Amino acid sequence: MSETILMCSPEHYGIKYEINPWMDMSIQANHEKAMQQWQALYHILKDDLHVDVRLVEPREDVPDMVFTANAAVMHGKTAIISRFKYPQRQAEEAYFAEWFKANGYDVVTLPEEMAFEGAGDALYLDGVLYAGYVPRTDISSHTYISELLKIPVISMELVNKSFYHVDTCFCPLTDGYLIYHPEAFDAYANQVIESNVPEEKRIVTNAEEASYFTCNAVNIGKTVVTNLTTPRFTALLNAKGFDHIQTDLSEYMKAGGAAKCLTLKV
Amino acid sequence: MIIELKLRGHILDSLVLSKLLDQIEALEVDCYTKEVKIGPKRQDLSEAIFVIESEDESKIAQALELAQKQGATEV
Repeated sequence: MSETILMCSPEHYGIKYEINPWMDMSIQANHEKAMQQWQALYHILKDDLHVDVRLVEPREDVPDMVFTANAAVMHGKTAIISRFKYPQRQAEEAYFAEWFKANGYDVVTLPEEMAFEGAGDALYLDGVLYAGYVPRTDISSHTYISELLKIPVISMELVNKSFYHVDTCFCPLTDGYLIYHPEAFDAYANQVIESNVPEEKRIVTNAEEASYFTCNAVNIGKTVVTNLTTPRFTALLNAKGFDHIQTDLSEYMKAGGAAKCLTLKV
Repeated sequence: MIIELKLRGHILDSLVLSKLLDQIEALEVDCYTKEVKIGPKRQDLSEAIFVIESEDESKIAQALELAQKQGATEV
């Protein structure tokens, strides 16, 4: 069965504010290049990997809507809609909720003032939701979601400002494998990861790879799609039985996003 | 000054309780766990109630700030 992924065309994408260390309004995204890079990712997923790609209508007032990973966290046909920390992104909540409702999903909203940034900060690994907190998501949302979905939610504190969402430094793969960057997490989170994921399943990125958002990957079966990265990382993936597709996402790095940020499995 | 705090969630699997107690201990205030309820199944939440005591109000304030960051609430 093919996977279904939600994307949003970057018509209105641009660096129009600064809410993470990657954003600098004096370094604007090249619109034409951004469109080409997004199209390349879209075609890799749709044509090469046979993903059912759905599109949500881009809205002019929310340039980061292109990063659909932050729309919600999914649980079957239920979408738990994000509560964005920064006002600049909060209008996205209603737009994404509207899409999910129109497409037959159950929509759940969290209490107001409970920051939670969707699959940007919560990723499944072997039925457990691994969730980041502090920069964008409140740990209280983890407890709320665990009770709501009746699933374990493991909380991991992010301590490096460059990796402000857990999906920038942690990527579960098929068969229990994991790409991650240990320096993004505190010592307790590292201990949790090491206790739960066997060493032979862990693929550790170095600082250079992490800076290319290599962990911000899309995994379809035994294929991993990332921004351009190092030959070392490709060799690591290949050694674990994964194919590696690289595609240039430099225009999205200017906003602190890469492959995974541009997609949401729904 | 004494404050009583509650921490609830996957606080054992995530090591959040250990982390918070380590952080509070580093402030050199008196801290003890009054009650711990462990969720019987993996998906169940656990809960800890603990007490912090100090004559130094600034240390209590620091402890409270650390606790809130880890999701604890005053009882």
